[in-house]
Amino acid sequence: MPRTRQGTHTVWAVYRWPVVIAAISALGLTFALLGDGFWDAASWLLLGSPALVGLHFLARRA
Amino acid sequence: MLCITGLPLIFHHEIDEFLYEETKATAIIPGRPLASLDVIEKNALAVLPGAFIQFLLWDRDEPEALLVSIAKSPDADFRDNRDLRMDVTTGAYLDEPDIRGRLTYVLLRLHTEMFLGLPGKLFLGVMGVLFLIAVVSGVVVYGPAMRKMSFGTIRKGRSKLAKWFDVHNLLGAVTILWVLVVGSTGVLNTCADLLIKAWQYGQLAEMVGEHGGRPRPAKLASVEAAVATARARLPNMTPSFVAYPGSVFSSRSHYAIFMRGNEPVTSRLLKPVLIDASDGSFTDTRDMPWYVQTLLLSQPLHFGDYGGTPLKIVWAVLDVFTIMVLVTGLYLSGKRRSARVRRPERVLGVERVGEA
Repeated sequence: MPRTRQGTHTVWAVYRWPVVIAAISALGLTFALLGDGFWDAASWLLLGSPALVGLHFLARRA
Repeated sequence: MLCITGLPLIFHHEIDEFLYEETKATAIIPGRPLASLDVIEKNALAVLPGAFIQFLLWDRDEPEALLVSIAKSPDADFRDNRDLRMDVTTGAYLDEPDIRGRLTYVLLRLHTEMFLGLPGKLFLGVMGVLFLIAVVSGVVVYGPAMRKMSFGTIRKGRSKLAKWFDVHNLLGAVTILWVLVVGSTGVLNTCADLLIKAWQYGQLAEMVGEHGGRPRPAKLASVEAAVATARARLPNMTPSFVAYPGSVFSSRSHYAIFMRGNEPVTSRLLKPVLIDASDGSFTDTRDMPWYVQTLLLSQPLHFGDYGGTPLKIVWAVLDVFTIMVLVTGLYLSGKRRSARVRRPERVLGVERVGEA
Protein backbone atom coordinates (compact mmCIF):
# COMPACT_ATOMS: atom_id res chain seq x y z
CA MET A 1 0.00 0.00 0.00
CA PRO A 2 1.65 3.30 -1.06
CA ARG A 3 1.12 6.68 0.57
CA THR A 4 -2.61 7.16 0.65
CA ARG A 5 -3.58 10.57 1.90
CA GLN A 6 -1.93 13.42 3.71
CA GLY A 7 -1.06 12.62 7.31
CA THR A 8 -1.20 8.90 6.90
CA HIS A 9 1.72 6.50 7.03
CA THR A 10 2.78 3.93 4.52
CA VAL A 11 2.61 0.27 5.48
CA TRP A 12 6.35 0.22 6.07
CA ALA A 13 6.20 3.27 8.33
CA VAL A 14 3.47 1.64 10.42
CA TYR A 15 5.14 -1.74 10.76
CA ARG A 16 8.77 -0.57 10.93
CA TRP A 17 9.13 -0.43 14.71
CA PRO A 18 7.12 -3.56 15.45
CA VAL A 19 9.27 -5.46 12.93
CA VAL A 20 12.51 -4.15 14.49
CA ILE A 21 11.26 -5.11 17.97
CA ALA A 22 10.25 -8.58 16.76
CA ALA A 23 13.72 -9.10 15.23
CA ILE A 24 15.42 -8.01 18.46
CA SER A 25 13.14 -10.34 20.47
CA ALA A 26 13.99 -13.25 18.18
CA LEU A 27 17.72 -12.68 18.70
CA GLY A 28 17.19 -12.43 22.45
CA LEU A 29 15.22 -15.68 22.60
CA THR A 30 17.91 -17.47 20.58
CA PHE A 31 21.00 -16.06 22.30
CA ALA A 32 20.30 -17.57 25.72
CA LEU A 33 19.99 -20.98 24.05
CA LEU A 34 23.45 -20.71 22.52
CA GLY A 35 25.55 -20.36 25.63
CA ASP A 36 25.95 -19.11 29.17
CA GLY A 37 27.64 -15.97 30.47
CA PHE A 38 27.96 -13.54 27.55
CA TRP A 39 25.08 -15.13 25.63
CA ASP A 40 22.76 -14.94 28.62
CA ALA A 41 23.62 -11.29 29.28
CA ALA A 42 23.11 -10.40 25.60
CA SER A 43 19.77 -12.17 25.72
CA TRP A 44 18.65 -10.16 28.77
CA LEU A 45 19.44 -6.90 26.97
CA LEU A 46 17.86 -7.93 23.67
CA LEU A 47 14.67 -9.50 25.04
CA GLY A 48 14.52 -6.91 27.82
CA SER A 49 14.47 -3.99 25.37
CA PRO A 50 10.91 -4.60 24.09
CA ALA A 51 9.82 -4.72 27.72
CA LEU A 52 11.59 -1.40 28.36
CA VAL A 53 10.06 0.16 25.22
CA GLY A 54 6.62 -0.83 26.51
CA LEU A 55 7.30 0.54 29.99
CA HIS A 56 8.73 3.76 28.52
CA PHE A 57 5.63 4.60 26.50
CA LEU A 58 3.31 3.55 29.33
CA ALA A 59 5.19 5.81 31.74
CA ARG A 60 5.05 8.73 29.31
CA ARG A 61 1.28 8.61 29.49
CA ALA A 62 1.33 9.26 33.21
CA MET B 1 -6.25 -17.95 32.44
CA LEU B 2 -3.12 -19.49 30.89
CA CYS B 3 -1.19 -16.23 31.25
CA ILE B 4 -2.23 -15.79 34.88
CA THR B 5 -1.43 -19.35 36.04
CA GLY B 6 1.73 -19.25 33.93
CA LEU B 7 3.08 -16.12 35.62
CA PRO B 8 3.92 -17.70 39.00
CA LEU B 9 5.05 -20.88 37.24
CA ILE B 10 7.95 -18.93 35.70
CA PHE B 11 9.32 -18.75 39.23
CA HIS B 12 8.21 -22.21 40.39
CA HIS B 13 11.70 -23.13 41.51
CA GLU B 14 12.08 -19.99 43.64
CA ILE B 15 8.54 -20.36 45.04
CA ASP B 16 9.12 -23.97 46.04
CA GLU B 17 12.40 -23.07 47.65
CA PHE B 18 10.76 -20.27 49.61
CA LEU B 19 7.60 -22.09 50.68
CA TYR B 20 8.83 -25.59 51.32
CA GLU B 21 11.73 -26.58 53.44
CA GLU B 22 13.94 -29.35 52.16
CA THR B 23 16.63 -31.28 53.94
CA LYS B 24 19.97 -29.93 52.77
CA ALA B 25 22.07 -32.41 50.85
CA THR B 26 25.82 -32.71 51.34
CA ALA B 27 27.70 -30.31 49.06
CA ILE B 28 29.58 -32.04 46.27
CA ILE B 29 33.34 -31.73 46.69
CA PRO B 30 35.22 -32.29 43.42
CA GLY B 31 37.40 -35.37 43.75
CA ARG B 32 35.38 -36.84 46.59
CA PRO B 33 33.66 -40.03 45.41
CA LEU B 34 29.86 -40.13 45.17
CA ALA B 35 27.74 -42.90 46.64
CA SER B 36 27.16 -45.90 44.38
CA LEU B 37 23.70 -45.87 42.78
CA ASP B 38 23.31 -49.43 44.10
CA VAL B 39 23.63 -48.10 47.67
CA ILE B 40 21.17 -45.27 46.95
CA GLU B 41 18.78 -47.85 45.49
CA LYS B 42 19.06 -50.05 48.57
CA ASN B 43 18.56 -47.13 50.99
CA ALA B 44 15.52 -45.89 49.05
CA LEU B 45 13.86 -49.31 49.03
CA ALA B 46 14.53 -49.58 52.77
CA VAL B 47 12.24 -46.55 53.20
CA LEU B 48 9.48 -48.10 51.06
CA PRO B 49 9.95 -51.87 51.35
CA GLY B 50 8.28 -54.10 48.78
CA ALA B 51 7.94 -51.31 46.21
CA PHE B 52 9.65 -50.95 42.82
CA ILE B 53 11.90 -48.19 41.53
CA GLN B 54 10.78 -46.75 38.20
CA PHE B 55 13.14 -43.81 37.75
CA LEU B 56 16.28 -42.16 39.04
CA LEU B 57 16.27 -38.47 38.19
CA TRP B 58 19.05 -35.94 38.51
CA ASP B 59 17.81 -32.39 39.11
CA ARG B 60 19.80 -29.92 37.00
CA ASP B 61 19.18 -27.22 39.62
CA GLU B 62 20.30 -29.40 42.51
CA PRO B 63 23.06 -31.83 41.54
CA GLU B 64 23.64 -32.75 45.21
CA ALA B 65 20.41 -34.74 45.35
CA LEU B 66 18.94 -37.61 43.33
CA LEU B 67 15.21 -38.22 43.06
CA VAL B 68 14.18 -41.86 43.27
CA SER B 69 10.69 -42.39 41.89
CA ILE B 70 9.01 -45.48 43.33
CA ALA B 71 5.82 -47.34 42.35
CA LYS B 72 3.75 -50.21 43.74
CA SER B 73 4.58 -52.35 40.69
CA PRO B 74 7.21 -52.05 37.92
CA ASP B 75 4.64 -50.93 35.33
CA ALA B 76 2.25 -48.88 37.49
CA ASP B 77 1.17 -45.41 36.31
CA PHE B 78 4.09 -43.12 37.20
CA ARG B 79 1.72 -40.31 38.13
CA ASP B 80 1.00 -42.19 41.37
CA ASN B 81 4.69 -42.60 42.21
CA ARG B 82 6.29 -41.54 45.47
CA ASP B 83 9.50 -39.57 45.06
CA LEU B 84 12.32 -39.84 47.57
CA ARG B 85 15.22 -37.37 47.68
CA MET B 86 18.56 -39.06 48.28
CA ASP B 87 21.97 -37.58 49.00
CA VAL B 88 24.33 -38.31 46.09
CA THR B 89 27.45 -38.08 48.26
CA THR B 90 26.42 -40.21 51.25
CA GLY B 91 23.61 -42.18 49.59
CA ALA B 92 21.37 -41.43 52.57
CA TYR B 93 17.64 -40.77 52.43
CA LEU B 94 16.89 -37.04 52.79
CA ASP B 95 13.13 -36.56 52.58
CA GLU B 96 9.99 -37.18 50.54
CA PRO B 97 8.89 -33.84 49.08
CA ASP B 98 5.10 -33.72 48.80
CA ILE B 99 5.21 -32.40 45.25
CA ARG B 100 1.48 -32.97 44.65
CA GLY B 101 0.49 -30.91 47.66
CA ARG B 102 2.38 -27.87 46.45
CA LEU B 103 0.87 -24.64 45.21
CA THR B 104 3.05 -24.81 42.11
CA TYR B 105 1.75 -28.32 41.34
CA VAL B 106 -1.87 -27.12 41.54
CA LEU B 107 -1.02 -24.20 39.24
CA LEU B 108 0.75 -26.52 36.82
CA ARG B 109 -2.26 -28.85 36.65
CA LEU B 110 -4.55 -25.84 36.08
CA HIS B 111 -2.19 -24.49 33.45
CA THR B 112 -1.80 -27.74 31.52
CA GLU B 113 -5.13 -29.58 31.87
CA MET B 114 -7.42 -27.82 34.39
CA PHE B 115 -7.63 -31.09 36.41
CA LEU B 116 -9.52 -32.67 33.51
CA GLY B 117 -6.80 -35.00 32.24
CA LEU B 118 -6.40 -35.55 28.53
CA PRO B 119 -9.64 -33.76 27.48
CA GLY B 120 -8.51 -30.70 29.43
CA LYS B 121 -5.14 -30.83 27.76
CA LEU B 122 -6.63 -31.10 24.28
CA PHE B 123 -9.09 -28.29 25.05
CA LEU B 124 -6.25 -26.00 26.12
CA GLY B 125 -4.28 -27.01 23.03
CA VAL B 126 -7.19 -25.93 20.82
CA MET B 127 -7.56 -22.71 22.82
CA GLY B 128 -3.85 -22.11 22.25
CA VAL B 129 -4.30 -22.46 18.50
CA LEU B 130 -7.26 -20.05 18.56
CA PHE B 131 -5.17 -17.64 20.63
CA LEU B 132 -2.40 -17.73 18.01
CA ILE B 133 -4.96 -17.04 15.25
CA ALA B 134 -6.28 -14.09 17.27
CA VAL B 135 -2.74 -12.72 17.66
CA VAL B 136 -2.10 -12.94 13.91
CA SER B 137 -5.41 -11.22 13.17
CA GLY B 138 -4.31 -8.50 15.58
CA VAL B 139 -1.18 -7.97 13.47
CA VAL B 140 -3.33 -7.64 10.36
CA VAL B 141 -5.64 -4.96 11.79
CA TYR B 142 -2.76 -3.12 13.45
CA GLY B 143 -1.70 -1.58 10.13
CA PRO B 144 -4.97 0.19 9.22
CA ALA B 145 -5.48 1.23 12.84
CA MET B 146 -2.07 2.88 13.16
CA ARG B 147 -2.00 4.72 9.83
CA LYS B 148 -2.43 8.12 11.42
CA MET B 149 -0.37 7.61 14.54
CA SER B 150 3.29 7.17 15.22
CA PHE B 151 4.51 4.14 17.12
CA GLY B 152 3.90 4.13 20.85
CA THR B 153 1.48 7.06 20.93
CA ILE B 154 -0.96 6.94 23.81
CA ARG B 155 -3.45 9.72 23.32
CA LYS B 156 -4.15 11.92 26.31
CA GLY B 157 -7.36 13.69 27.14
CA ARG B 158 -9.34 11.61 24.67
CA SER B 159 -11.93 9.05 25.61
CA LYS B 160 -10.95 6.19 27.87
CA LEU B 161 -11.66 3.90 24.96
CA ALA B 162 -9.05 5.58 22.77
CA LYS B 163 -6.47 5.28 25.52
CA TRP B 164 -7.15 1.58 26.02
CA PHE B 165 -7.01 1.09 22.28
CA ASP B 166 -3.56 2.72 22.19
CA VAL B 167 -2.28 0.63 25.13
CA HIS B 168 -3.56 -2.48 23.39
CA ASN B 169 -1.70 -1.60 20.18
CA LEU B 170 1.53 -0.60 21.91
CA LEU B 171 1.82 -3.65 24.14
CA GLY B 172 0.63 -5.96 21.39
CA ALA B 173 3.40 -4.64 19.15
CA VAL B 174 6.20 -5.05 21.71
CA THR B 175 5.18 -8.55 22.84
CA ILE B 176 4.21 -9.99 19.46
CA LEU B 177 7.17 -12.27 18.76
CA TRP B 178 7.50 -13.47 22.35
CA VAL B 179 3.78 -14.26 22.47
CA LEU B 180 3.95 -16.23 19.21
CA VAL B 181 6.95 -18.24 20.44
CA VAL B 182 5.58 -18.95 23.91
CA GLY B 183 2.12 -19.68 22.50
CA SER B 184 3.25 -22.07 19.79
CA THR B 185 5.71 -23.93 22.06
CA GLY B 186 2.89 -24.24 24.59
CA VAL B 187 0.62 -25.78 21.97
CA LEU B 188 3.44 -28.16 21.03
CA ASN B 189 3.73 -29.18 24.68
CA THR B 190 0.09 -30.23 24.78
CA CYS B 191 1.09 -32.89 22.21
CA ALA B 192 3.95 -34.17 24.40
CA ASP B 193 2.14 -37.34 25.54
CA LEU B 194 1.30 -38.19 21.96
CA LEU B 195 4.88 -37.66 20.75
CA ILE B 196 6.28 -39.84 23.54
CA LYS B 197 3.80 -42.60 22.65
CA ALA B 198 4.96 -42.34 19.03
CA TRP B 199 8.57 -42.72 20.19
CA GLN B 200 7.72 -45.77 22.33
CA TYR B 201 6.01 -47.61 19.51
CA GLY B 202 8.57 -46.45 16.94
CA GLN B 203 12.19 -46.04 17.94
CA LEU B 204 12.08 -47.69 21.36
CA ALA B 205 10.46 -50.82 19.93
CA GLU B 206 13.12 -50.91 17.18
CA MET B 207 15.95 -50.55 19.67
CA VAL B 208 14.63 -53.31 21.87
CA GLY B 209 14.30 -55.53 18.80
CA GLU B 210 13.80 -59.24 19.43
CA HIS B 211 14.15 -58.76 23.22
CA GLY B 212 10.70 -57.15 23.22
CA GLY B 213 8.79 -60.18 24.48
CA ARG B 214 11.14 -61.04 27.33
CA PRO B 215 9.78 -60.77 30.89
CA ARG B 216 11.29 -58.54 33.56
CA PRO B 217 14.39 -60.27 35.05
CA ALA B 218 13.77 -61.55 38.58
CA LYS B 219 17.05 -60.03 39.70
CA LEU B 220 18.20 -56.83 38.04
CA ALA B 221 21.84 -56.22 37.10
CA SER B 222 23.63 -53.40 38.96
CA VAL B 223 22.25 -49.98 38.06
CA GLU B 224 25.59 -48.38 38.96
CA ALA B 225 27.33 -50.58 36.39
CA ALA B 226 24.60 -49.87 33.81
CA VAL B 227 25.06 -46.09 34.19
CA ALA B 228 28.86 -46.54 34.03
CA THR B 229 28.49 -48.46 30.75
CA ALA B 230 26.29 -45.68 29.34
CA ARG B 231 28.83 -43.03 30.41
CA ALA B 232 31.63 -45.02 28.76
CA ARG B 233 29.61 -45.23 25.52
CA LEU B 234 28.85 -41.48 25.50
CA PRO B 235 31.76 -39.88 27.36
CA ASN B 236 30.73 -36.32 26.42
CA MET B 237 27.28 -36.65 27.92
CA THR B 238 25.81 -36.67 31.43
CA PRO B 239 23.01 -38.92 32.71
CA SER B 240 19.71 -37.09 33.06
CA PHE B 241 17.50 -39.95 34.23
CA VAL B 242 17.35 -43.74 34.35
CA ALA B 243 14.16 -45.59 33.42
CA TYR B 244 13.92 -49.02 35.05
CA PRO B 245 12.62 -52.14 33.30
CA GLY B 246 8.84 -52.06 33.01
CA SER B 247 8.47 -48.28 33.29
CA VAL B 248 6.95 -46.24 30.45
CA PHE B 249 10.31 -45.08 29.11
CA SER B 250 11.90 -48.50 28.74
CA SER B 251 11.20 -52.12 27.86
CA ARG B 252 10.42 -54.83 30.41
CA SER B 253 13.98 -56.15 30.32
CA HIS B 254 16.15 -53.03 29.87
CA TYR B 255 17.45 -50.10 31.78
CA ALA B 256 17.15 -46.97 29.62
CA ILE B 257 19.72 -44.37 30.63
CA PHE B 258 18.81 -41.01 29.11
CA MET B 259 21.96 -38.99 28.55
CA ARG B 260 22.05 -35.24 27.94
CA GLY B 261 24.75 -32.97 26.48
CA ASN B 262 26.78 -30.47 28.46
CA GLU B 263 26.27 -27.34 26.33
CA PRO B 264 23.23 -25.10 26.89
CA VAL B 265 21.48 -26.34 23.74
CA THR B 266 22.60 -29.98 23.86
CA SER B 267 21.77 -30.26 27.57
CA ARG B 268 18.10 -30.10 26.53
CA LEU B 269 18.43 -32.99 24.11
CA LEU B 270 18.30 -36.59 25.32
CA LYS B 271 19.90 -39.73 23.97
CA PRO B 272 18.77 -43.06 25.44
CA VAL B 273 21.22 -45.93 26.06
CA LEU B 274 19.59 -49.31 26.49
CA ILE B 275 21.31 -51.72 28.86
CA ASP B 276 20.15 -55.31 29.24
CA ALA B 277 18.90 -55.54 32.82
CA SER B 278 19.54 -59.29 33.09
CA ASP B 279 23.31 -59.18 32.53
CA GLY B 280 24.23 -55.48 32.28
CA SER B 281 25.36 -55.71 28.66
CA PHE B 282 25.00 -52.84 26.19
CA THR B 283 22.07 -53.18 23.76
CA ASP B 284 21.73 -50.00 21.69
CA THR B 285 21.86 -46.20 21.68
CA ARG B 286 20.32 -43.78 19.18
CA ASP B 287 19.53 -40.09 18.86
CA MET B 288 15.87 -39.48 19.55
CA PRO B 289 13.70 -38.78 16.48
CA TRP B 290 13.28 -35.19 15.25
CA TYR B 291 9.79 -34.78 16.72
CA VAL B 292 11.00 -35.56 20.24
CA GLN B 293 14.07 -33.31 19.77
CA THR B 294 11.80 -30.48 18.62
CA LEU B 295 9.62 -30.96 21.69
CA LEU B 296 12.64 -31.01 24.01
CA LEU B 297 14.13 -27.86 22.45
CA SER B 298 10.80 -26.05 22.51
CA GLN B 299 10.34 -26.54 26.24
CA PRO B 300 12.85 -23.96 27.48
CA LEU B 301 11.36 -21.46 25.01
CA HIS B 302 8.02 -21.95 26.73
CA PHE B 303 9.27 -22.02 30.33
CA GLY B 304 11.85 -19.21 30.06
CA ASP B 305 14.12 -21.15 32.40
CA TYR B 306 17.24 -21.17 30.26
CA GLY B 307 18.91 -17.83 30.94
CA GLY B 308 19.03 -17.26 34.68
CA THR B 309 16.84 -15.06 36.87
CA PRO B 310 17.02 -11.88 34.69
CA LEU B 311 15.49 -13.81 31.79
CA LYS B 312 12.69 -15.01 34.08
CA ILE B 313 12.00 -11.41 35.06
CA VAL B 314 11.82 -10.36 31.39
CA TRP B 315 9.48 -13.33 30.85
CA ALA B 316 7.26 -12.11 33.69
CA VAL B 317 7.12 -8.51 32.37
CA LEU B 318 6.18 -9.69 28.87
CA ASP B 319 3.56 -12.00 30.41
CA VAL B 320 2.02 -9.09 32.34
CA PHE B 321 1.97 -7.06 29.10
CA THR B 322 0.20 -9.93 27.37
CA ILE B 323 -2.41 -10.03 30.14
CA MET B 324 -2.93 -6.28 29.61
CA VAL B 325 -3.31 -6.80 25.85
CA LEU B 326 -5.94 -9.47 26.51
CA VAL B 327 -7.84 -7.37 29.06
CA THR B 328 -7.85 -4.25 26.88
CA GLY B 329 -8.79 -6.38 23.88
CA LEU B 330 -11.76 -7.87 25.70
CA TYR B 331 -12.83 -4.45 26.95
CA LEU B 332 -12.57 -2.96 23.46
CA SER B 333 -14.47 -5.75 21.75
CA GLY B 334 -17.21 -5.48 24.38
CA LYS B 335 -17.48 -1.72 23.93
CA ARG B 336 -17.27 -1.99 20.19
CA ARG B 337 -20.14 -4.43 20.07
CA SER B 338 -22.38 -2.15 22.11
CA ALA B 339 -21.23 0.93 20.17
CA ARG B 340 -21.48 -0.61 16.72
CA VAL B 341 -24.52 1.48 15.86
CA ARG B 342 -22.75 4.62 17.02
CA ARG B 343 -19.89 4.43 14.51
CA PRO B 344 -17.09 3.10 16.67
CA GLU B 345 -14.35 4.52 14.45
CA ARG B 346 -15.34 7.98 15.71
CA VAL B 347 -14.99 6.83 19.28
CA LEU B 348 -11.59 5.38 18.59
CA GLY B 349 -10.45 8.29 16.47
CA VAL B 350 -9.23 6.04 13.70
CA GLU B 351 -10.39 5.33 10.24
CA ARG B 352 -11.43 1.77 9.75
CA VAL B 353 -10.27 -0.02 6.68
CA GLY B 354 -12.38 -3.10 6.22
CA GLU B 355 -13.71 -4.92 9.23
CA ALA B 356 -11.38 -4.62 12.21
